[in-house]
Formats: sequence, structure tokens, C-alpha cells
Amino acid sequence: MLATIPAATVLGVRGQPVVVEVHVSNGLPAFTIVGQPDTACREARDRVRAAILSSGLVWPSARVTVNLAPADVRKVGASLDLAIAVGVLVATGQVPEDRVLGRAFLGELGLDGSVRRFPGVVPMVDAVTSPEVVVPVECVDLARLLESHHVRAASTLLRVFEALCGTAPWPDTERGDGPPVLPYVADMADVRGQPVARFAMEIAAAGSHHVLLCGPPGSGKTMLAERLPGIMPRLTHEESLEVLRVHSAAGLDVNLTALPTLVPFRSPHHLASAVGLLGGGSAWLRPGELSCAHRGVLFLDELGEFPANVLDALRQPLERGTISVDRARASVVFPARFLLVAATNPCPCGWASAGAPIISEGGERRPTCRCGSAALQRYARRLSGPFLDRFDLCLEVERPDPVELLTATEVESSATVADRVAAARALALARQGVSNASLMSNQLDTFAGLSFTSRRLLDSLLRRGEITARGVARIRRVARTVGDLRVVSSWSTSGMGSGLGAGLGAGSVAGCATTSVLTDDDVALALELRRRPSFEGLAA
Amino acid sequence: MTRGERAESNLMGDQINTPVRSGSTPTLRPDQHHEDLAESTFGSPDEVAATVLCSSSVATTARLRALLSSATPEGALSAMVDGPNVVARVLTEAGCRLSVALVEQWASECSSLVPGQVARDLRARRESVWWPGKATKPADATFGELFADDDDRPPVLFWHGSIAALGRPRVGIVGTRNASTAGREMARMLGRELSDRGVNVVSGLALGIDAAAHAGALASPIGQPIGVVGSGLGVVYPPANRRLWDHVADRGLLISELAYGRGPSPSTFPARNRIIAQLAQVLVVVESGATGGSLITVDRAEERGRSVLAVPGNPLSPVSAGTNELLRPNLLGARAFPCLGVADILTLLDVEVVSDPGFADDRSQPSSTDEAVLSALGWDELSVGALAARLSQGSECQRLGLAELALALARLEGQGWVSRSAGRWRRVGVNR
Repeated sequence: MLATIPAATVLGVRGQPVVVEVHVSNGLPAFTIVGQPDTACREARDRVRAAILSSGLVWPSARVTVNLAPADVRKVGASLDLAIAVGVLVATGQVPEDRVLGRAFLGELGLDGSVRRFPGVVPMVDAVTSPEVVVPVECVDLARLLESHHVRAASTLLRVFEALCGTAPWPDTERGDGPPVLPYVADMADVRGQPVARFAMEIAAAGSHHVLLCGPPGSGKTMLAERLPGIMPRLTHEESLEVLRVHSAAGLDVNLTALPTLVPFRSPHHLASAVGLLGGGSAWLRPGELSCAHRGVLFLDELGEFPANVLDALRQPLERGTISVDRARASVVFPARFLLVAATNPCPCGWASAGAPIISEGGERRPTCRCGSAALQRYARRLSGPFLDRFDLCLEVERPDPVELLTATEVESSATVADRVAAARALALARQGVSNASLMSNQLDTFAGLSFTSRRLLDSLLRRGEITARGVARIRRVARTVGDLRVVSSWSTSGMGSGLGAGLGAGSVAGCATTSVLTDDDVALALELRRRPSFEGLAA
Repeated sequence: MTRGERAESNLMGDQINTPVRSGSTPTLRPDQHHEDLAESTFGSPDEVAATVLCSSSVATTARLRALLSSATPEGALSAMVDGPNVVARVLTEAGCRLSVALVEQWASECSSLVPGQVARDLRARRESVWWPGKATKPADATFGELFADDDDRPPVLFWHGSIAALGRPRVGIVGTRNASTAGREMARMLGRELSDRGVNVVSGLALGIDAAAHAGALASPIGQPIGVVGSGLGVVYPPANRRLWDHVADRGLLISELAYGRGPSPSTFPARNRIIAQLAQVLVVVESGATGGSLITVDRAEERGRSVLAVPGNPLSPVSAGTNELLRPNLLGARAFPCLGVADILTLLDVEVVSDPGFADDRSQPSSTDEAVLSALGWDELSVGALAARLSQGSECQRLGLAELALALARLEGQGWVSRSAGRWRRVGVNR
């Protein structure tokens, strides 16, 4: 009369084991669920009853009580449907009790008895303690990627019933969807011209430096940002699992058959709410877009249009790599270590920086800025001060010359750039154990020393107020990456070949990157790539 | 501590914190003077009455002029309170129709202000008031002289700062708010060079050209910029110019036709422009669109027989359309003389000025690599990428890597050969 079925629910990006207890006793026929179910979970009553009846099984004419333990955790979503249904079947004696031992059940039920997929499979399977787990057939491949449990597939409640009774095999080989579609990776070779911007993207990928792209419409800001994942190093196994957990909790998981290796790329719209970006929500505490970009690229297009509170909220993840969301009911910490790429127009109409030469080199006539001074000020106020200081690279992107757009010239593909990036990253990791962007300020003198000349250069800019003290540290970090890329390129030209990032040992690092002092060239380039975009109209 | 005293001590604190530049004309400072002296300098009963009259929403230029043409402010105020009918009749006879109800409203708004408090505020703000016919302070004569031939002279002026700024030759520099980089640079250069020669800049403290001209004047050690603003002296508009506003008040003179707390409105700026036109002996328009406030200033200056100069601009640039049109000759000649540098202004000004301090080009000679970068840059505005592309095309120019180019540009910037704004590099003509 009593059945105990293991299952799981999810809070934030972490799964929580749940035990579904089903008690069937004599009395007036009733069906109640207790143990803090949310609305979707409480509605399981109707789904489960209909699914059992449509599968040709017997619904007890008795009092059915379902308890979801532990009682202090709120259960969300419909993922407990299958466990409740199996519990009813066991408690009514339709399935022998010993057949469900050591098995957890996860799945949403349709009224026809079909078992459906639900968001958050990966963290839930993670949380299950029993050795075997039954999941909807669409999620089987995903659950198997974890390699932690024996995963059984469930297509309908009837098939599960038959498999549990031993009258039919488990439908393990059935496929829910077609073969997964591989994500299209945009290639750097598509970008015409823009040598400086391309190089800046390479630097960003190699040193994990946040980038701000500033330029008129049509200058290729979005195009450049979209190509960043393609040149970033592939995800390691652990990183990939982290990404998978977050995406699954956010409901983004498709039926992957292999762990994702390409870093995620998220570009939330500027009308997205703060909760949508940071994560949260009343019942679920779902990870937001920032967390979905964990270990990948977060692209904020039209940075100036994002509400000020959203931009302020970016500071914590940028500093700590996590977002804590605290609600009355629960507090969760979402991972959010991403590479921030932001794009903005120089003014609301987009043509401010194109003001001076009205006819470009190629003879293209460009519109000039027609923004009022108040609009310019509002724009500049939003994009100024401490927030802009957090970008290591501030880049003014220009519209490419029409001549360059139409003439096909051989440019590097993403694969070539990715090799250099991987090698430069490996170099930095072997030297200091962290990426260049994460160098602490007390490590800078050790790993990114300044020569007398560059010290004088930065000093004069500091005095004139063109850069801040924080800016100097950032320039040094970027210059370190430029130096690493220079070392790496010299290897590939001297015949050491590409792809050496993988096998790079500490010994070869000591041999190749002998000096820890930055060259003046590198500092000057880092400086050039970091000067604040001066928003027009406020120069005086 | 009363409210007035607190305001006063706040202001004193502010003034002490304001940087005092070398060579600035000594102005009265609260910390150097006793309260009794300040009492005698600011906030006389007549000044208080004028301030009270202007603070009302009924007060317009025409009404104030009619009111003050026959009476002192104090007399006018008491007359208005005692006999609104008489005042309404006198004003209507003077050509300014005003109903008795409006006079009563004016009087009631005025009587809601406490004269003692107004006087304390004026003293605390070190704000002076002038109206035609006032002659109680040495400064009054200066204003009286300057506005003597003006038919449209302001009925009341509020000012703050050093009246000595008006004693020097004065050149108005005006232009659009949405100025180009080159325009702002020109305004800044003119402001600086005129000030270096003892000529003071009169402008409107708006964004763009005005702000650049004032900033240039402040960059000169002896500059005394004169700012004529379109709001009350207590309302900084545009707010972005707050620091500039403070510096102008500190070093030169700040003038407004409106009472302290009155905000700007679309009509106050054209009114402000006529004061600029009156105070300036010569008017320079640096950049102006086909329509705009600067052209209103030009009209006002022409009415007053002032010479107008315009800086010629790129024919394709919309912000030079107005200035280029001013320079277009018709049967009677062009409306404006071309202004290519400070020499053009000084010729027209026709006054004794401090001789050219002489700026030698003391920049060190660039190295051969840097010279190649400089010649490739030419006189265009180029981003570092465009410059690199240009360098790689030129046959005689040596190829430079991006990093080497960045270093060369940084070096040239340090030596004063190039400057960078909005992501583009530009060659600098004369070392400043």
C-alpha cells in the first residue's frame, strides 16, 4: 500500500534529490499531493490519473496521498509525474515493489500516457543517488553524457510498465529526435578588411579580455563578436559539463549526443529584463542569459540602450564570475564567468565618429551625426565612468572601405587564429596559472613589467587624465597578451608549426618567453586599443 | 545656524575649493573681507528690490523696462504694492499694456519674498545687480557705458565675478552646439590666443563652440572669459558645463538677465544673444548650421554695427553651412569677413593689444620612421587601421607592424605632432 520512488527537482543550477512517497488506503476516492508542490507539480494529479487510465492500467478507487520529501524544498515543474505514476502502480500492486528498487524516475506525462522531456534533466540526473535512472527518450543521450548513472529510456507509461513487469524490453534504443544539428560556427575569413578589429578579437580570445566595440551602423561589430567563439579554445570536459548543467537548468538543452566543445555565445536583447539576464524568477530561480554565457561569450549589442540597473548588475559577475540571487524563499549562486563583448554606436544615430571626413578614402559618402546635444549627453552619461573602465579593449570600428568589401583577398580563417590563441593561452597558463586578464595587480610587476620608455609614456597620459590607474593595469594585461601572441606567431613562422598549445611544457615556456618586461611596442598597441571612445559633444 | 548663514558657509567652502589659477585678477573673497564690507558691497535695498521684481513670473523684459524707466526699483516696488492702479496706468501710458490684475499678481508675488533674506542671499552668492540709471558702484558706470547706445538694453542684469574683465577688448565667439572636432579646436585656439594677447572672449557657455572658446580662454594664464548665460545664475544650463561655469565665474565674469533661480526657456537664449552682440566689439562665428542661434547673434551684431567674422568650413559639413553662407559675397559684399586665425580678428578689432607673445615651434624633430608615419597621415583624420593600410600601400614608406605603428603614434603624440580624438589620429599644426 506504500511505495517510495526516488526522483529529483532543481533549484538554480543544482539538482535536489526528492523521494516520492505514494500511499493508497481505503476511504473516499481522493488524490492529494503534499510537500510544497508548485502549480505545475500540483497539476500532476490530473495528468497522472489520465495517463494511467489511457495506458489501460487501473486507477485505484481509493484514497491516494502523495508526499514529496523533503518537505522544506519547493518542487517545481512536471518532472515528478512519472515517479508519481510509477509510485501509484507500485502502491496498488500492479508493479512488483522489487522491480523499482535502485531506480529513479524522471519525466513529464501526457494525458495519453506518453513520457515527455522537461527542462533541467542534467542537474536532476546529477542529483539522483540511485544507480539507475529512467528518463524520457528524448533526454537519454543527454543524461548519458554525464556517465554517472545507468540510463534507461521511457517513451510511454505503458512501455515503462511492461519493462518493469518484465514483459517487454526497455525501449533504450529508441530515438526521440533526429540526429542533432551541429551549430554553425561563423568563420573569421568572412570578415573583410578590419585588420585592427580582427587582431583585437584575437587578443580578447587569447587573454580573456572584455571588449567594447564602438562604431557606426554597418561597421561589422556584430559580425566580429559572432566570430569570437570560433577562435576561442574549445571547452575542456569539466567546462563542458558545467556549461551543460547551466543550459539544461535554463531549458536550453537540445538532444546532444556529445558534450559541447564550442563555447556558448549569448546575445540577449537590450529589452531583456534584469531577471532575464541575471537569473531568478518566483518559483524556479532559473539561470539567466549571463549564466548561459558561462565559459563563453556574452554579447551585448547596443550597450547604450540597456537599462542602467542592468549594466550596474553586470559588475558583480564581471568581478567574481558568479551571480548570487537571493529571494525570500531561497538563495542560489549561478556561475557566470564569461567574456563580455559589448557593441555600441558612438551616438544614438550612430554617425558621430564618422563626422570629420565626410567622404571616405574609397569615395563613399557618409551621413553625419544629427543627434541633439541632450541626446548625446544622455548617451555619454550611460556609457561613461567606471563601467567603461572595466573593458580591457575599447575599439573604434570603422565601416570598411567599399573597395575592400568587394575585392576578395585571402584572409586568415578562424582555425588559424584559434591555433595561435590556444598556444598563447597555454603560454600564459604555464607562466602564471591564470589568463592574462585575471592577473592580480601584485603579479603585474612580475609578469608584465614596464620599461623606462613605456613607464614614461603611461605616466604622461595618466597626468593628462587620459587614462586611469585602473586603465594602466588593464593596458599592462593586454600588452602581456599582445606579447604572448607575438611569441606564438614567431614560433609558427620559425617552423615550429601550429597546434603547439597542447603540448607546451613549462620548459619550453622558460625558453621562449624569457623576458617578463613588456616591449614598448606592445604597450603602445595595448594603449591604442584601450583609449576610451570619446563621445562627441562633450569634448570641451 | 540660520538657512542664510548655512548657504553662505557652503558657498564659502565652495569658493575656497575652487582652484585659483595664477595670474587671475584678484576678486573679492569672503575670507579676506569682513562681513560689514560685504554688506556694503552686495544687496543694497535697491538691488534687493530689483531682484524681487525680476523674480516674479509676471516680469518680462518689456514690463521691467517700462517699470524702471521712470522709477528706482525700490520706488517701483513700493508703488506697485501701494497703488497697482497707478502703476498699471503709468505702464500702459509708457506703451506697455498691463492690467491691474497682473500688477496685483506681480506685487503679491514680490511681497511673498522677504527682503532681508534676499539681501542675505545676494551677499552669500556675491551676486551684483545692475539696471540702467543705477550709479552706486564703480561697476555700474562700466555697464552704463557699454549699454549706452543699445536700444534693446536689458532692464536688469545680474552678474557675478570680476568687472575688470569688461575693461579689456572683447571678442564674441559663438557657434553651434553640435560642433565638429575641428570646429571645437578652432574655437579653443581662438579663445586661447586672443586671451594670450589680452583680449577677452564673450560667449554663451553653451555646449560645443561656446564651451571650447571658454575653455581656450581659461587655458591662457591671463584670460578673463565673459559668459552671458540664458538662465538665472543659479541654474547651470547645460548641466554638463558646471565646472566650466564655475571657472568662468572664478576667473572672469558671468552675466545673466534672469533672476537667480529662473530656468532657461526657448526665448531666453535669443535674448541672451543680443547681450553677447552688444558686449562684443567683434563677433566671430566658428561653426553654424544653416539655421541656429548663432545666426541670431549675427543679426543682433549687425544691427549694432559690429563687425562679424566667420570661419570658413568644409562645404560638405552641415555645421559649416551657415558660416559659409555668411561668407558668400552679394552685391553689398559678404556679411562676414573670413577668419582664418587670430590675426584676422585683431586687425578688425583695431585696439591696442598685448603684442604677440610668440610661440616658437619647439617640437623635437621626429625620427625617420615617425616622419614616414607623419607624412602618410597627411592632414586627414585616420584610425590606426586606416593608417596602417595606407603605410603598407605606399612604396617608399616602410612597412610597419601595428604595434610599431602604435608606438610611433604614441611617440609623436608625446612630442605634440599628432593628437587623437574619437579613435582617429590627426596631425597637429601648431604646438600649443
